[in-house]
Amino acid sequence: MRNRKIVPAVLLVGLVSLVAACSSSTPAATESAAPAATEAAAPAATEAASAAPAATEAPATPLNVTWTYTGPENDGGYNVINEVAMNAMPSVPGVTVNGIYDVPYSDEASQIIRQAIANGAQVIVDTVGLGTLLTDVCAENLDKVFCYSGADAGPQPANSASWWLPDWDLGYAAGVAAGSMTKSNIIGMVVPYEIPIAVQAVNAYALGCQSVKPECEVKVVYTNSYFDPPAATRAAKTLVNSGADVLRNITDDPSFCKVAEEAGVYAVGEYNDFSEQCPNSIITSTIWDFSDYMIEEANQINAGKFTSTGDSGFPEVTPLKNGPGGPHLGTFGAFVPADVKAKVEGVYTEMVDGKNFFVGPIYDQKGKEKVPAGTELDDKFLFHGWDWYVKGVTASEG
Amino acid sequence: MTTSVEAVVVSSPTHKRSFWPWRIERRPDPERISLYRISAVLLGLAVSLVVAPFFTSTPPAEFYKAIWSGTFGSPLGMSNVLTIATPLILAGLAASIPYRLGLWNVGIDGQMLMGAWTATAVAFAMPQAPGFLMIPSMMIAGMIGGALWIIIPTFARIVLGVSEVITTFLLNFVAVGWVAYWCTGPWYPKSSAGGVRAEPLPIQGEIGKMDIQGVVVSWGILIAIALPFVFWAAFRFTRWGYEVTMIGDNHRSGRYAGMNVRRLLVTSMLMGGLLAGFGGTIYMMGTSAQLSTGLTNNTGFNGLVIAVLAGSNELAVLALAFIYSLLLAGGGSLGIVGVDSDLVFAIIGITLIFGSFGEAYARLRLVRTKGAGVRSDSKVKEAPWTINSSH
Repeated sequence: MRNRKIVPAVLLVGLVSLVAACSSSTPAATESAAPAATEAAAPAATEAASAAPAATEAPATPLNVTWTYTGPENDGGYNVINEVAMNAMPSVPGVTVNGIYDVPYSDEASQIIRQAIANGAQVIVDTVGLGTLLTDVCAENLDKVFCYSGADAGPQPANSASWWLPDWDLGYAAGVAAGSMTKSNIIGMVVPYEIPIAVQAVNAYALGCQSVKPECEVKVVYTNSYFDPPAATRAAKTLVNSGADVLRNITDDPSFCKVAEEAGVYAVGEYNDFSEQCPNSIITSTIWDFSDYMIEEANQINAGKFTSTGDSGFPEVTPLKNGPGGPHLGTFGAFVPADVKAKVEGVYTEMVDGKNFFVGPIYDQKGKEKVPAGTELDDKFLFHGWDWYVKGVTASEG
Repeated sequence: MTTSVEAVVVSSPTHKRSFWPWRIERRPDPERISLYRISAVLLGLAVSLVVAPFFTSTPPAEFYKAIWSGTFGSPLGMSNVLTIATPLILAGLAASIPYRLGLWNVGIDGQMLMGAWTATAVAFAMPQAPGFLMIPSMMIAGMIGGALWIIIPTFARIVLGVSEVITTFLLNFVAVGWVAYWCTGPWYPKSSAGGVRAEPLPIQGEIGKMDIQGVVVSWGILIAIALPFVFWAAFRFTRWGYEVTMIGDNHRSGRYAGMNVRRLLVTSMLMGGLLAGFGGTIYMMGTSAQLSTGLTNNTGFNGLVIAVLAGSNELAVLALAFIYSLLLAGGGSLGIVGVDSDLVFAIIGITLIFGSFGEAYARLRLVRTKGAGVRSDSKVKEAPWTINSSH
């Protein structure tokens, strides 16, 4: 009777492969990152070496940097901008880079990192937020490796530094842009999980919007994944249906702006410059460019000056910039009125100059005053202390 | 369907005008099925490994070197293989035992997560307890959590006749959502801003690790290796095992023989859930010691495939789980040299197809039809899988 099991078995194999295909990554990502990166690295490195002044006569120290990513290569958003920083690193003589994709939040991540170190990785840059999955491995390899732990507030071993950027400022600027363009006074945001960086990003977006339109509301839909384009698309459509006319995301893929293009609403890009991809909807983008920071860190390591962030619970924050190299604003859509552009750029320039826009009074969802008038929120609180939504935010599961 | 289908043996020449001068027949004596199947799996493995480098831009030498160093070639690789094998063996058993009764446990990932969740809840409820108390409590909690997660599909199947394929499968998503809620909400670590995982377990709740010549693996692997032998023996030497083996997926014959088929269905399903929950728990306790939605990483589906390939043989589950772990570990190290680690799923897929061909080859054979196109005596009964079956 066993042959009767063949039919369900075939169905099952189909099901399993379907699930595997859906859950893991795009098939297009089979191309290797490493050769491309090293190809790019080799000429850049030699160029830089030959152009370097004669003062540095010592041969370039080889430095093998491995980046870990959640989701596939070329995800259209978060990984793409991190790849920009990764591929900028080889301008430092001797540096070679490679990326490991689809790193899961499980012990497998630690195993992959151990293996990478055994294969000669000297620096690990984590973009995933692996926390102890990374720092425990770093602590095992104190003399072999330096680690950059993404968005981690936990204690770092002596060879590890937490790194991040002031995404709250970028969120506020995005909110100003959205608030200037919204007509319904409802703006939407696609969010993976209700975790500190997400709460903070939503709050910043809301406060930015309310600085222009005090009655501005932010609707949030969770997708329960950083990279799940179908879920992100559904979430974005839900937001449009509930009246949002400006969309923003902190999920990793560009589906929010595709939905915005189709629905004829606006969007503010996150991570990358989306103005070419979605010319009719993108007001502007907040770009997470880490290139300067990473080049600087490679130089520091080569000079023997690596600094750990230790037990501070706060990352090395890449300062905002007015142009490429650091976090900056992207291209404005052709449809954006000049005064709106001027306003957003004005706010952003003030941020670059160090102005703190997170000043009380700030109210929670129920209207209770949580931050008294005149009190400034500090960066540490903004980074991972904000666990309540501000007035005007409504959040729901997608 | 009755057993009469088995009795159909076709030995006549062709009976229809056919383009294709061959026909498929059932072998009268399909023996050595496991042999064919395992050889086919190994052949598929060899073929796909030879072909695979052509689909990447990595030089073949580097490709094989990466697989080798990620598996047998280094203590680290071997640790990785054994670490992956630990939950995989249990997942294989969790699928294999219900499969003996024709039941499909497609919800192993969910049961693993729920087992790990329950164990974590127990650990957080007694953070000061000593290890000798905490570890067994967590393990038992893990088993209970996994078994509870399969109760609804079991009773839906037995009482209402709802297919367990659907219910167990869909409950995976519920489990992921549940764990995601706890990992981003009540158990979210204070020290994280962007990651998605729970606070680490109390230190005494971790399973110790063995270090054999640099191969570091938690001693959970010993339990995982022992269990297939336990079940192999149970199916031969206990009444429960005998009854399950006897009735297979023919529940009616079991009922005629006076067996309590319902009880067998319930116990084997619960056993599946229990093993899955236990697998998730010991994997979590022996590795990163923190709950996350990515904990199982499709181990459950891989276990199901293993169970189907192993075909009601617990020792084959063990062997195949080990082969599978080699592939997954090798795939992981391919990711490090820049090959998409998903390539390994293509290799697994090809291996599977070979495995099912091997099984088909053991059961069926091709027979050359003399004088193709000649209509023959129509009284001869056809094999049930020819297109126009006579019944």
